[in-house]
Amino acid sequence: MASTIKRQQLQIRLIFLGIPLAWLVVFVVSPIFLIFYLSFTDYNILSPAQMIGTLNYEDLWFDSLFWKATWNTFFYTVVSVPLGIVFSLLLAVLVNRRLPGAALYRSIFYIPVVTPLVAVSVVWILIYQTSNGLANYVLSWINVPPQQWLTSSTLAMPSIIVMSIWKGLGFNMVIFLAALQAIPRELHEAAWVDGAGRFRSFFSITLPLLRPAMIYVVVTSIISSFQVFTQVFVMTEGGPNNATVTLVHLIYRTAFLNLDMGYASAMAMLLFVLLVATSLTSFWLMSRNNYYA
Amino acid sequence: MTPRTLLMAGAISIGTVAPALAQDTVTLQFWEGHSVQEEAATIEMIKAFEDSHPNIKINRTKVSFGTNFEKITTAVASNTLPDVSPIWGGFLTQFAASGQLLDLRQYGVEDMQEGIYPGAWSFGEWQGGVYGVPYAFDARFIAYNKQAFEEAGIAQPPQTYDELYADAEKLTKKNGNTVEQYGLGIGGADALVNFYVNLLYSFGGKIFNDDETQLAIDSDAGIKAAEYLSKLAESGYVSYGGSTGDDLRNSVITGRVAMIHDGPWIFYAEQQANADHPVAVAPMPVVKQGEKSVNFGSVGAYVVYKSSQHPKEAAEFVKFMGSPEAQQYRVKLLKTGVATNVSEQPVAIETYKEWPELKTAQEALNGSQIFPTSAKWPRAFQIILPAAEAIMEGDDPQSTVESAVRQASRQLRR
Amino acid sequence: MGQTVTTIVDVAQGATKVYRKSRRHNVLGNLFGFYIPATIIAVVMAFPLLWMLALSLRTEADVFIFPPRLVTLPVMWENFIEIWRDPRMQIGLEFWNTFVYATVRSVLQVLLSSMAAFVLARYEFRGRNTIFILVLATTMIPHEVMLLPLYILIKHVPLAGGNDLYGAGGTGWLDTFPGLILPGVVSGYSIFFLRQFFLTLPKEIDEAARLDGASEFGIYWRIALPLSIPALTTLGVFSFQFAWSDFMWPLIITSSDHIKTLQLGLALLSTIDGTQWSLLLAGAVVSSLPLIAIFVLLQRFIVTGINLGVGK
Repeated sequence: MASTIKRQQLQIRLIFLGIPLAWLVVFVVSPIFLIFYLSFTDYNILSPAQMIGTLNYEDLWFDSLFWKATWNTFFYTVVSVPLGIVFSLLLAVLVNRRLPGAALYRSIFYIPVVTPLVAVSVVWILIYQTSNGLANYVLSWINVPPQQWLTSSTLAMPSIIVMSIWKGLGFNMVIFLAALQAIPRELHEAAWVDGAGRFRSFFSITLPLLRPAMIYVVVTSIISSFQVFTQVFVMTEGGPNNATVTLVHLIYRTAFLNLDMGYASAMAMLLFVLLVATSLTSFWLMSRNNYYA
Repeated sequence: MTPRTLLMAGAISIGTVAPALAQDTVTLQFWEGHSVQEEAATIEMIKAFEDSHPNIKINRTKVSFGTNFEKITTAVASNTLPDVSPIWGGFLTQFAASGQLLDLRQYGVEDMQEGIYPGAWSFGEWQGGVYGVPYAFDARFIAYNKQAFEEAGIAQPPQTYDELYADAEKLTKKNGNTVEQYGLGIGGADALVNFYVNLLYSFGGKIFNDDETQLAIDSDAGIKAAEYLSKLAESGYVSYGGSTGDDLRNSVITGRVAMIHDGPWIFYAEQQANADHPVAVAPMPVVKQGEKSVNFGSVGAYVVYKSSQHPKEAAEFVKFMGSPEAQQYRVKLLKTGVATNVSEQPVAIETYKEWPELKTAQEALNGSQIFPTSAKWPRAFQIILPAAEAIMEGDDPQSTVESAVRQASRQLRR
Repeated sequence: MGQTVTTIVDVAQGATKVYRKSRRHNVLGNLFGFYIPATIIAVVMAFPLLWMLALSLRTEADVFIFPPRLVTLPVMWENFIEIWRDPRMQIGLEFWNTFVYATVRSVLQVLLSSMAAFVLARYEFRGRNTIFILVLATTMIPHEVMLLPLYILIKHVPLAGGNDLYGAGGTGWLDTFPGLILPGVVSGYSIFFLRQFFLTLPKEIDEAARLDGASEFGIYWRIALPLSIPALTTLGVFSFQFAWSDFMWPLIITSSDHIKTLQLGLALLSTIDGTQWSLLLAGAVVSSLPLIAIFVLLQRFIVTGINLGVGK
């Protein structure tokens, strides 16, 4: 009996892990190795790649635009991830009710997520227009002069962050909602009977039980913020004055506009290292001493 | 593999092999991804070609090229290119330098040179070879709202840049914090670079030095152009930004912006808005009265890939697309033509009756200068754009262009 | 096992009843604690999309009208007809292609990711954490830079599209559904997501099932999966939506019309020579509707699924 279970467990580990992992190796890991290789070459896509050693990495070190993009990406992440998480958790708690109409509100909050990012970016461009845009029109009611939402280097990044948070709230809200639904109500009930207030019960019961979902949301939010691209690409193309150039936008531009795939690969490898370090650290910080990690 | 994929895989190989077997008709794979306006013209041009060349069929595939040509670049990497596609920006030189493009001189393409505007023609040239035939040439000019000019008591469009500034001032109407009418509209991103480069050319400056190793926008002329841009930016008469040219076009049609720096797209926008020709166009101003007006023009060219199985027929096709007979259909769709005598073609003459301003736009192409064709241009663009944006935000023009040139000396070496 | 589940359900439902009863009279609390803030947020959240809808019902010139107005006349319902008729797109076919792409991809993704996640969450073995970290690391290279290597890889799939055993000579899976769908099927994100969920299921459930004589596969198929319907549905919805809105990969991998996806068709409305804004936005509305419908239909599985989960 025990040996059957052992054998079955071994089989299931091999098959269940083997197939998806083989898939990952073929379609994700092998391209990553190719990118790693290309990062040591001069490759313009149109002609064969040539080995140039670590020259790409040396150039990166002195490339002020690369560091600016790194800083912008960092800024974007540090602002948008915490705000996004707090707001989406609040939303999830808000709509985690069995009240008539709650489902409708959940759907409304989720709609921005399902609308294609390119289309949404276009609408926000029109809203942010300086002379004809809605945002400035609304401001003019309270006699505020027109703002250069996407064309001033101080406002452009915050404008993109606002739009990104709006777009992503529903996504994390659903994850938190699924996790909140999994918390048995008798736990809250018990706390309530014990005289714990709503906030107490939220911080001492809900939040700890949300930990697995929280780890997922924090780590994936960091990873995807570090890779922010489409909004920047559609709304500002990195401008004005490179105020919104992010790492992936720079990588994309370097690869497909400058046709400098080798250099773009080197940037991608550095981004990779940066992400591995950041996400593993956050993962480790959050899952210390915890069974659920 | 499903039967369906097998079928599709089969279809691909048949598509490329079959024409070689059938000697009498040849089918060319042609990728294009134009706007509705351009596409309508392209369809008529292809039809005219197929009528006059019964042995060649054009298989037109609508392709979204991606903003930066990803579609073509990746097709090169895997050798799955069509016979013919359009190309723009700095890609022609890079593709030619990498040996991907056919030198069309062997098919007698140089005979066309005389009939095509020099600016457009130079776009296809690289190291003595001709690698592309232009099919689109769009000069930038001043498009202005006639009524706004009348109301401000301005009799004619600005002749000099000083007049442009003075007119912008007269044409700006404010009401408290709200600007009800802007004197001048400049688009963001690419449109801003177009405007700045046009200024640079007008003031007599150049983008690169002679051997194209270094930016030359810090010349005296370059600094004057930057200072002029800066003066406009600080004036409060300019509506700047927005990533859409369509927005500006509609603004000048409705009169919210009195004049803009734009190309022939304005006519199509007028047609779409069902407006009764509220907009007139004028050549770019000059620095000093009596100088020749200089305007910036953008080019698109068709290229034949070296991997093509039917280079002769493909060359025949791209030559036709640049000819006056084909180009008149672009005029019909309210664009300008690359052929110098396109305005003598019957379809064009008919179109000018309703759209006389289109002829002014066509004439602007006569001294039109284009972006550098250097393979380094995309990189230079990425330095010039932030510099122009910084000037629009109020940075000091001289130190901004100087620092751009310093930065470029690093970037262009890669 | 069956008993355990019933008991927890009973307890949970009982608790819910008490909880709800005690709050029933708290109408004001609901109004200020839920309806008013939720309505305000809903207006803010929905406004840009309402604006998108408004813009999609305009003539091209009215898109940029100033001062902005929510409704302009004439209301161009025709845009929605035109988007179906536009010769540059074959929106019906594109809809179908996108549907096939998104469905196959999300079903495979849910299945394969749940297998890996199940093992990574429910078994202790050496190297488990290392494998998990490596899986997570695969999400850390941006898609944009993977495009080219993947493209080359797809072209060299052996014995496909005229290729020989070594993947040379033909076009592989380029311009085919397998090439479009398969590379994105397994992702580190989805394995990570389900692993986190599987971790929250009490281990006692597995043990009880084993004692009842369930096979390991049975534990996965009859217990872990049914208990994870909210998470599986969430992942399925996300995955479907990602594929539905995907642009870059379909752009690069497809060239024939009969395999084009919706986003590629819409991209043709916005070219280097100009954009048809109202049509583009009408297309965006049309392309968003199925995703909204799917969420509305499936949200009861996500939200009211079950009150099991964490039993500790």
